Order: sequence, then C-alpha cells, then structure tokens
Amino acid sequence: MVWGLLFHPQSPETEAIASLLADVLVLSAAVFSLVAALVVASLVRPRRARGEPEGRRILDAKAARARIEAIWTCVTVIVLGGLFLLTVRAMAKIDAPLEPGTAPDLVVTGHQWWWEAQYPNGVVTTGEIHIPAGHRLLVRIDSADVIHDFWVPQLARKMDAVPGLDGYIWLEANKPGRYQGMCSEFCGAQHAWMHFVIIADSEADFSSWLKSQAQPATQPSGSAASEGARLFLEKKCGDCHAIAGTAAKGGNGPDLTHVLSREFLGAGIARNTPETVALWLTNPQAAKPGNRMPDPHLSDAEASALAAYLGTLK
Amino acid sequence: MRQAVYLGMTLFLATESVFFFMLLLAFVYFRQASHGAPDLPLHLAVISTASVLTSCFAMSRARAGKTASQARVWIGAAALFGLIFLLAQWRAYAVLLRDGVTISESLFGTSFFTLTGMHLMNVIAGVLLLAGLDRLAPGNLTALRAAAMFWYFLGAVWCVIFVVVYLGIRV
Amino acid sequence: MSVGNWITRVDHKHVGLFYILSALAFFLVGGMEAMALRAQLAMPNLKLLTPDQYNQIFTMHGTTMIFLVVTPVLIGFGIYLVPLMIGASEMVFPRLNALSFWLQLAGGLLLYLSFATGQAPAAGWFSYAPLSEKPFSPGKGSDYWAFALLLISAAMIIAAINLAVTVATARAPGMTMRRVPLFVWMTFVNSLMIVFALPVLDASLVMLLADRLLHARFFDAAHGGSPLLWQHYFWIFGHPQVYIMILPAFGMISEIIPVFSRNAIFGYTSAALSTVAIAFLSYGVWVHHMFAVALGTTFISVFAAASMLIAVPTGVKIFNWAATMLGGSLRLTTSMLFAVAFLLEFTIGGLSGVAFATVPVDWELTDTYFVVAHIHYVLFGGTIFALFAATYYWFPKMTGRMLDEKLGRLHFWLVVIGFNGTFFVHHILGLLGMPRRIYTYGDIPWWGPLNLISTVSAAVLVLGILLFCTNLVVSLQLGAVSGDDPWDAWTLEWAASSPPARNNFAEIPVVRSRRPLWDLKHPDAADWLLEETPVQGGD
Repeated sequence: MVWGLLFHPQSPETEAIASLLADVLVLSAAVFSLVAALVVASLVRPRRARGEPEGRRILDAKAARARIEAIWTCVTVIVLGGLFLLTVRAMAKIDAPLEPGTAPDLVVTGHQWWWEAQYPNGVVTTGEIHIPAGHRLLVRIDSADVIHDFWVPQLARKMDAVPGLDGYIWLEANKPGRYQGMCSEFCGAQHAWMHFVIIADSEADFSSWLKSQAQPATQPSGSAASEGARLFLEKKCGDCHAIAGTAAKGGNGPDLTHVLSREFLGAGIARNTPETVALWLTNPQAAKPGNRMPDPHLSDAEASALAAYLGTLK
Repeated sequence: MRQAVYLGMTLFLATESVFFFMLLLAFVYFRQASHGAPDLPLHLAVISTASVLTSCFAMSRARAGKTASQARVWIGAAALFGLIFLLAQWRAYAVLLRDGVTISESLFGTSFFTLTGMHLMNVIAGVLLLAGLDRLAPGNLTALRAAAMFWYFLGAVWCVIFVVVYLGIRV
Repeated sequence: MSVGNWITRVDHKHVGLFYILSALAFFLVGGMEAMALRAQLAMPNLKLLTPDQYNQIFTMHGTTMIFLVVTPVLIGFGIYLVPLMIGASEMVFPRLNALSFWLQLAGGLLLYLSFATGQAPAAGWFSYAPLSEKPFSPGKGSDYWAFALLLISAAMIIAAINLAVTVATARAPGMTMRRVPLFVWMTFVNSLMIVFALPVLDASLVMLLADRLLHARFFDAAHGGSPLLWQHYFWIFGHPQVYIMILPAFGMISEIIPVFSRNAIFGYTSAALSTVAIAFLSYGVWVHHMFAVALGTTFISVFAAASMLIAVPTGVKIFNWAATMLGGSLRLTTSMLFAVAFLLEFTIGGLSGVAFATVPVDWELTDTYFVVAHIHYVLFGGTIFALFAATYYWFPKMTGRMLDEKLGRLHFWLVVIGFNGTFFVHHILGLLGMPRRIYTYGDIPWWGPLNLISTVSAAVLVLGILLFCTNLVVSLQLGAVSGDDPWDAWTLEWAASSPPARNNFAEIPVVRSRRPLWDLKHPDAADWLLEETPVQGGD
C-alpha cells in the first residue's frame, strides 16, 4: 500500500486533482523564486554612493511607479484567472453531475470512531469496504453523530460527513488493490484512529465477497461458542451490535456478523487477533481509550465464551 | 471630544447591528426551514411597540430639554416606558411558556427566545443606563445624546423584531 | 509605586505594554503546549499524552495563540504606537482603553481556569458543532471556552473602537489620512474589521451557549437544527479574523522596510488601498473553509474566485515591499533581517493559501498537515516574524535602550532554521496524507522521520525564542542607550523622547508630508517641497 496522493493517484478523479496540484506547485515555486530573486537582488546591489539624497528616487518617478504597479496587478489577475479556469474544469471532472434521484451504490456512515458501509443488497460492513475495480460508484456520505470526513487520498476527493446533510462523491479505483482511508475532520477523542480501507477487487472476487457477506452468521457449534451466543444477548451486546440471523439488531456499534473476516479492529488501532478481541471484551477503554463501548463486566469464563463465539463469525 | 464620543457610539452600534442581524438571520432561516409557528401574543407586542415609540419620543424631548431638570424628567419618562416594555415582554414570555413554546421545544422557540432575549438584556442595560445617567454624567449633554443614540437603536431593533417576527408570521 | 497605582494606569503606553507583555507570557504558554504536541508526535505510536490530553492541548494552543497572543499583541502595538505616530498625546478614551486590557486578561485567565476544573476545551479552536455540543463535549471546557471568547471579543471591540476613533479624530494638524503612516492605516482598517467581524463570533457563541446551557436546538441536527449554521457563522467571523491577525503586521513591515532601505515606501496609495480591498474581500471568502462540505459546485466556485481575487491586493503589497528594497540601500539590522525573512516566509504562506482556493486541491489537502503548514507560515512566518522585526525596531522607543544585535542575529538564525525545519516538512506530511489533529499515527513510510525532523526543529525554535526573551531582559538593563531616533527614521514617534513622556510631545508637531521627521531633519530636501500636488493641511 502506497501512502500519499501526489505521486500515486489511482482513479481518474484523483489524477485530475494531482495534475492540478502539480500546476499549483510549479506556479508557486515560480512566484516564490521571483520574490526571492527580488530580495536577493536588493541584498547584493552595491550600496549607493554616499551623499546621494536618500529616498528621493521614488518620489521623482510617480508615472513609472504607476505603470509598474499596473503591470504587476494585471499579470497577477491573468495568472489567477487562468488558475480559476483550470479549477472549474477539474471540479467538473471530479464532481461529475448527478441525475437527480440516482440511488447511491454505497452508503457510508461515520460514527465516533468507525466507518460503516451499507450496500444496496443490505450487506453492512465496518472499516473494510470492498468495491469492484474499474467501476465508478456513487457513494453517499452520512454521519450518525458529529462531523467526520471520508477521505481515501488515492481514490477520491474528501467529503465531510455532516449529520443531516447528504454528501455524494464518485469513488473509483483504476485497478485492484488496497487503498488506505481515514477521517479527516476532527471528531473527538479517537479522531486519530478512524481509519478504513477501500479494497478494490476484480469483478469475480467482489461478487463472491458480497455473496459471502450476505450470508447470515454461522450457527455456533460447540458448547463454549453456544454459551457465548447466549451471553451476547444476555449481556446486552446486541443492543449496540447487530449479528444477522440472531436477535442482536443494535445499530450504535459495528455490525459483527462477519467480524472474523476483518483484518483490523477499532478502526485501525490494532490487528484482529484473539488477544485484541479479548482486550475489547475485558477492558474496552484499554483497547481504544475514549471509545463509546461500555465495560460489559465479564468474568473470565464469560469473556472466553464470548471470544469463542466471536471466533466463529467468519 | 463630542465628535469622538458620537463616532465611538456609532461604531458600537454598528457592532450591535451585526450581532442582532446574525441572530435575526438565524431566526428567519429556521422559520423558513420548519413548518408552522406558534401563535404569538400580538396584543402584547403592540403594547411593547407603543411603549418603545413613546419612550423614544420622551428621549427626544430630553435631548431638546432647555434645563437640566427638564431633561431629567423626560429621561425618567423614557426609562419608565422602557420598564413598561419589559413588563409587556415578561408577560409575552409567560404566555408562550404556558402554551408550551420553550427554547428547546422547537427551532422556532430556540431562535425566538435567543433573539428577543438578547434584545431584552440590552434594554435592561439601557434602562439602567438611563436611570443612572444623571449620576454618571450630571448635566453632560454629550453623554445624554450618546445614551439617546443607544436607546433609539434598541427601539429600532425592536421595530424590526416586531415586523419580522410578529407580523411576518401572521402574514 | 504601589500595585494599585500601577494597575490603574491609563496611559496608552502602559496599556499597550500590558497588552504586549501579557501576550508574550501567553506566547510562552502556547509554545510549551506546542512542544507537548510535537513531543507526542515525534515518533509513531507514542503514549506521552492520552488522546484526551492531546485534544485539550491542541485546542488550548490554537485558542491561546489566536485570541491571547497574535490578536492582542497587534492591538497592543497599535495602542502604544498609533497616538505617537499621529502626533496625539493619548487615545481618545483612555479609561476604556485600560478596561479593554483588563477584559482581555480576564478572558485569558478564565480560559486557563478550565484546566483547574480538569476539563479544558477539546473541540478545536473553531469548535465545530455538534462536537462542541453538550452530548459530545459533556465537560465544562467548551463553556469556559465560549465565555472566555465573549470577554476577549468585548475587549477587542472596545480597543478597536478606541483605535478607530483616535485615528479619525486625534491626528496632529496637517496629518491627513493621505499622510498617516501605513501602520496607522492598517490598524485603522483592522479596527473597523474587528467592529464588523467580532459580533458575528459573539452571535455564534451565544447560540452555542444557548444550546449547551439552556438546551436550545440551534446546531442539533436530530431536532432540525443545523450544524452548518455554526460553520457559516464561525467562518464569516473567522476569515476576517485571519486578516485581523495579519494587517497590522503588514503595517509594521511597511514602516520597517522603508527605514532600513533608506527609501520611501514604493506605492503608499496602493499599499493603503490594497488594505481596504483585502478588508472588503475578506468578508466574501469564508466558504473556502468549507469546500469539503456538500454545498454545490456553483456556490463553491464563486467563493473560489473571491478567494483567488484576494491574492491580488496581497500580491500588490509583497511587490511594494520588494520594490522599496530594490530601490533603496539596505541596512541589515536584526529588525530588517526579520522583515526580509517575513517577506519570504509570508510569500510561502500566501502561495499555499492560493492552493486552497484551488478547490480540487482543497478537496485533497484540507484538514491535513498542509493546512497546519499554511497557517503557521502565515501566522508565525508572517505575523510573528513581523512582530520580532517590530520589537527590535520599537524596543528602543519603548525603553530607551537598544536590543543587543549579536544576540539578535543568533535569535534570528535559530528562529529561521527552527521555524522552517518545523513547518516546511508539514507540507510534505500533508501531501503524504497525514490528517491534522491526530494524537498519534501508525508506522507509515516517511511519517515517522518527517515528524521527528519537525519535533527536533521545534526545539531549535524554542531555543531561539528563549534567546529572544533573554535579549529582552538583558538589554533592558545593559543595552546601549538609544537616544530618541536611533534608526534615523521618519515618523513622528521618533520625535518623542525614548521612552516618551506622559503626554508624548512637548509640542504638537505640524505635518506637511508623509515623512514629517525627514522634513524636520532635511528642511532643504523636504518631501513636501517635492510633492507635485501638495495636499492641503488640516481636514
């Protein structure tokens, strides 16, 4: 995975941004060099001979001064006018117009501090969002609480997730790969760990992934896992987390139907290992300080039963 | 110095105008965005408007007053009608609260109470200023005129509130 | 002198110094906060600060630097210098002047009282709702923040009205508005901007407090309120505020560069008019802080155009200063070094500003470290550099002693190296995708080393600033006696004694040109003899 957008744009939209950015950087370097040249020129100029009256030249040359100022101003206006045209052109390319009433291909909702993605067929996933490579998807960006910002530097412009205001972006990856994304608007204690990954798959991989995600959760087998499934409801985990095919239907926390299929937990703060799961179950505030999960106060036996259950949710 | 005081007061009123304009804008925005608005006690608003206008008239007499004692009487009258305005507003608040219109009940209540509440706090300050003017700056015509500017301004703000908030809803 | 005596002083020079010294104190506090942030970010996954501590500290750092350092110190220099520069004996409202300072200080202390409750504000210096609302910021921090800002804005408005009225009514005979020094022009325009911008902040704060304390619904989307309303209102205030923090610095540079270039400013009129243009335009660009919100392409384009347009008058200024230097004969004092460095650093900050007006670039880089680089190049490389230049320039007037030039040069180089080392890499971090305001980051290629460079450089910067403080203290005792006019300058403050007497001038001078002191020193070559269309004296 390559970080950074400038040198590795991976979609037509970010290619447009990167080329405009390159123009801006070149222009900035040129202007800075000009100012620096003027400064250096005035520093190395030979000191004027003594006795020449100080500070008189400018007063003597009003007409010349007005002309120079007019030229400078006009040049600035023309350069900025050109930049504005480039801007408008790139904006049209990146925010291509939208037929009113078009249904989004993906709805992404920001929560404190994780991302939820919902597909038209009802699949809900957290933090690891699969898309078919080479397809331009319309994504609706929402928020469940405060303002977040959905940003995949290499694939798309960023879009603020404002509660009560739908934002739309085009999301596309030229080729399969994993593309890092993160929240880019300060949203509270764990703003730093509100990462997500866009996983662009080949068409075949994508549809098989979508199909597997649409399956309800695996029925627990073995006594520990069954005990865990029972505890999940008894300890009110299901008030916040949903597991498809069970009575757990909560929407405040991440959907856990296929939690085992994820690489990371806690929006990027740790890899999805049995140790991480155990920490979340026994001391959520240690797993991710400030997060919204209450301590379920489990005994060791209960925690390991729940862990066994979660370990079956492929 | 006179010129400086009037200019300073003008700038202060410019600040106040922007402040009230922003609150009024929020009120208008939320009224457009939401549907329906509660019935407002228009008769109390009419009484408020009448007392504001009377008070401003008294203030103009105070400015024109030939002697200090004449001016003092008119300032007293202006402050008195300011008090009547406050009473009418207090009554209007009571009526609205009785009808269940509170600051947290709806966006209408939120922006209505914030806007009128800020105006009320200014009027209270204005009444206190008028009441204390004779002590603070006895016989000072410049101070009297500056206070009058502030008082007219608050009257004008109320008139805008009356037209936009009270009449705007009825129409 | 008793303490009571001391704090009831209303002399504009005392009030100005109170402002400057309290800003310096808060600058050191804000700087320590910055070092704490840089330490936490020095390497990936550090745990020096908890997330909550980090968020409180960056909120306090931003709020402190903006509302307790940069804005008030510029006002303080204005209060000290404007009456002297226009040939007045005092501000027109001396007691209001003192009141403004004490309100300002009270606001600062109230803000820091929040630490005592264990709950400093943690929603950032622009406290976006709904994060700043009660459900998401349940502590008292945001209440302290809002009340402190209300006090500070009251102080700013009082000081601004006082400055504007002083410039308008207290100028010496013959000092027309076409002859006042550019620092006075820019302070005047700045004061009017404060008068029209700060009440917008007040309205926003009142609405936020109504939500937080009275359960109003302004920004509560769940009940029909609008989080965007906060953003619009805050930035309608916030963008003029950005210029409120730079225009007086432009004014300082416009005084310092001509004197050390031995050349009258190139284009006085355009320098003054471009300030007015900036002031007007600055009220029409606020949406460029919100380009990443779904606001519609056409709406956004209009603000992009306005934001680019504001670069034109700013560019005019840079050109005026460069041309003044080019036509002159430079004296590279420490003050001038800082002024020259200002020119270059501010140009970088201005150019990255233009990058953000280029909407698609903003769509990638907003809320990344590129923005952090931009604001620091403008506020530190711009305003703080100008303030260092101003301190070396006017310290002799304020104290009667020169600041040490050797220490000054060392201070200069440490600051230039430290500053650029700290903040230039932030551009690159932004381009590499590092969001601002994150308390830590994972092991991502280049992020660790670049952040380490930034942190180490920040330590160099701190060293430079400590050296500056040392210079202030040492020179106050041991500095060379400066005399009234050590720089052979041209504006009226140098006609007063150093430090100036209680009423500034024994005799109010008559002004016949933009450089009254030059005229006085060179009667045969006076400017007013040369002016093709002499402006008539008086108003």
